[in-house]
Amino acid sequence: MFSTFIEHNSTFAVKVKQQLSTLYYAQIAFGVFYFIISLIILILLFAFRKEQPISSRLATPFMGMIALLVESCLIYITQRGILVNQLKSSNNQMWESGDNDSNIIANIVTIFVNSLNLTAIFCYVIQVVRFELMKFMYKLIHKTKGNESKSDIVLKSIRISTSTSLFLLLTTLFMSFNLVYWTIWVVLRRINVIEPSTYTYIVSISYTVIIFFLSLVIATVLVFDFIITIKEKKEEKKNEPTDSTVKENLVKKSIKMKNSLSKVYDFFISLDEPLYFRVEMILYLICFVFLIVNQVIGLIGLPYRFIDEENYKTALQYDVISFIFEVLYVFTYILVFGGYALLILLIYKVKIWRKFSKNGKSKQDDGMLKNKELLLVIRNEESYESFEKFCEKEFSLENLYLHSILEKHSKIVNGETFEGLSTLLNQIFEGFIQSGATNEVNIPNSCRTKIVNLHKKYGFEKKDSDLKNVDLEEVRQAFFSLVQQVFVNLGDTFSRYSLTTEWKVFKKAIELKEHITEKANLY
Amino acid sequence: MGNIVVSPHDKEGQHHMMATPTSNNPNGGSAATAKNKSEITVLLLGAGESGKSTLFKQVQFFHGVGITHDQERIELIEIVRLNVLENAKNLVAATQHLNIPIEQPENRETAKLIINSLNTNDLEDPSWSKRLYSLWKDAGIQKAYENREKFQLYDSTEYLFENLDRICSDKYVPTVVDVIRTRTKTIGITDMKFDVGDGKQLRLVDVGGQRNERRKWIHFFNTVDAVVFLTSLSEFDLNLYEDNGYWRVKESLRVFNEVVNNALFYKVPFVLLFNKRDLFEKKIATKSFSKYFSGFNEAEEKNPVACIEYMTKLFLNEITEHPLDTVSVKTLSAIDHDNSKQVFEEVKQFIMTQQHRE
Repeated sequence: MFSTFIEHNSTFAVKVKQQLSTLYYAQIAFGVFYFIISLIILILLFAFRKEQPISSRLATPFMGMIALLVESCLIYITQRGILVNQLKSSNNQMWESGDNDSNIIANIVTIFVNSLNLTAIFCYVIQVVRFELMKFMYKLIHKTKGNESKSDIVLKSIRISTSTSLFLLLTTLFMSFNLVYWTIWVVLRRINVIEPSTYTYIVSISYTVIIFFLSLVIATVLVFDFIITIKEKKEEKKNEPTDSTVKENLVKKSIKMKNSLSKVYDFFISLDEPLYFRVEMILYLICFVFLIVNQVIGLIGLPYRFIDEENYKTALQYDVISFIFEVLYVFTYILVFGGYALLILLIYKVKIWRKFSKNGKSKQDDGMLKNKELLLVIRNEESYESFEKFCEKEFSLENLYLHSILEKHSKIVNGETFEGLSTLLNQIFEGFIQSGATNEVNIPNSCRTKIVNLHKKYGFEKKDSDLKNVDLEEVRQAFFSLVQQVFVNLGDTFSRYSLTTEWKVFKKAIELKEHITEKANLY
Repeated sequence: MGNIVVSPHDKEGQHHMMATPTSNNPNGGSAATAKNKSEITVLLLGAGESGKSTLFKQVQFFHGVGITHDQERIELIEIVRLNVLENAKNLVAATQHLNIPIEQPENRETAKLIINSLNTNDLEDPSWSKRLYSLWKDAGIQKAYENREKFQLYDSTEYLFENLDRICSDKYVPTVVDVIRTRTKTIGITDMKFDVGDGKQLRLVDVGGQRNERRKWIHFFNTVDAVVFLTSLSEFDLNLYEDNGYWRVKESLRVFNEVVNNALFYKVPFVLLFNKRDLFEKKIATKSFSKYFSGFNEAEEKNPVACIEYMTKLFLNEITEHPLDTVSVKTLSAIDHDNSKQVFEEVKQFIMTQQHRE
């Protein structure tokens, strides 16, 4: 923050004593607030350090929050306290010694907080690059089209670039460089080799420049992320009608028309779950913009500080504007370094709590068949596509599509809501269940009877408003049985798919991912 | 368990069998063209649970492919364990449905867990071996098992329960026999190829047998060089998996009729395999065969040969549009490796001979 880099000289502040002390009081008040917030967040981060998405952020939010805690405590509370105290005194000598004390505090803060802050951002950069690499690893692997030697090269390079030792080495080097760099300028200032304004210029500009370059990397990753996502959406559209009669008529029909707001939301969330790095990167860039404005306005006001009392008034005005941006900066900073991840965790917790309070029978929801690999295949975009092609070859697409529809309507399937139940039942009955249906699935009589009965009761042309006294447990039981059977059917196809080279390569990628995530605490 | 010699004089309804339509045979020359082809496509057809996939797996095994390899069998652990769970679940459900109480309290507890929460991963724990075996041996469950024609249960039930100590272990790797005995409902169409000499390859196509799956068969009808139709001898007292109110034999006859009389198969060598002879012999020792077939002489109902002859006539009577000299009938016990090998070899020879004749 710019406030930290200012070398205070209160000689010209006599005339604006009142305004200046008001600004200091405001800063102290905010300082106390930042201190409390950062302390709370730090405690929460520590408490939930093993849970996602917190653990995926490694040490980054901790470093960020410690930096804020130290900065708010030393600069906003202690240093501003000293400055306010000296303003109250009319003794010039005391002013000088006060300036000196406050400047020494600021210098110490500069060395440690700058190093912590920049290293935190640096770790963040490594993390997003690493995450982005992993996120698109499947795509890289997928592009090798089952070529084991090609995929091995990809896997090897990913393994090296995401190794923990490389991460630790880079972080330590960066931290050491920071400590040395800031100490040099502080020493030069303290032994009066450089002027106070020169010191502030150098420190502020170099801090901003380092952050600028780190932000540039983050922005590049973000742009890359968006380009890939847009490209994928286009490809998805292009590839969709592999079986036009089935997919277009059944799957597409099930996707309700969404308003543009939810489309934007979907775009942000797509591929970002469950760790939400993308939104965090955007927040980071906003935070960076606030920081730049804060620094630039502070630097513009800097020359006025050291001329005379009149000019000090102008400097003070710049200080106030700079401070407003500083506040905005700190708020986004808190979100980037742990706040947002904690918010996501909170939303998860509330969702889980709601689910549990509504339906305690979670164990049964898991079902009989625990084929984790199959689930992995159908929940991952790339392998889904490859598995879909395999199903097409074996004439068993109907199970995959029905499974997709059931997953899409999991709330109805799990008996949490009956909104859309009638439409879903009609769609499933006509498309997959009734004898002679275009995509009739192979299920036992008992399961079929359950769905047919459900359709008789709640299906046909009924609207949601016509549905009264829906027995959600009956709905859940019937769908549970259907989900199980479809899964069993998919299991048969999967038992052969699992012998293909494509799956073997994909499995290698999964194993590597597990290896990396184990080290990086991702997932 | 050898060939049943099919002679036109043995059968009723010869006029049907002798009918040889040629005008409505759009692809009648397929067998003739197959003579020069390097690949012979053989379709394994039949209704659900007739044993197509079991034979398919046996063929894989004696050709040293597929399930011969450990890695391939490891992929089937889930399916074997799912078989155990489904069997256990169906048995427990049957005790409720048939009003037969499970006698031991600890078995009742196990039954509850099976219905509510047990999954295939749980079976890695060896303690489940004892619990499931104890349930299997419970008098209530055994009584339900005796009445298994009244509900759906896999043929593999007894085998799997007797091998729980191996299956319920985290080191479990299915043996070839486990895989062959496990019921796998085939979804869609799958195939395998192997050399048969003379620079030729045999492509064996396995398909799902339930009603919805049969609609997919048509995709292969144009390229077929031979058909092996399987039907289960032991299903005479059972109803369909996909339609509980429909007698399996009736379904098998209907499917056989549709396939054998299909114009596309007119000159195609056709093998009818009566499978599950082992189970059938055991079954007729305790169950009445004549109860299900009004035209059958009750006095002969414990004689497997007489019963099979009757079944053969029943099926051959369905043939109206296929030359009988290209039809071969055999019995099979697909879970028996040696028998499968021998019968499949005969089937192969029959197909090759038919092709040379063409």
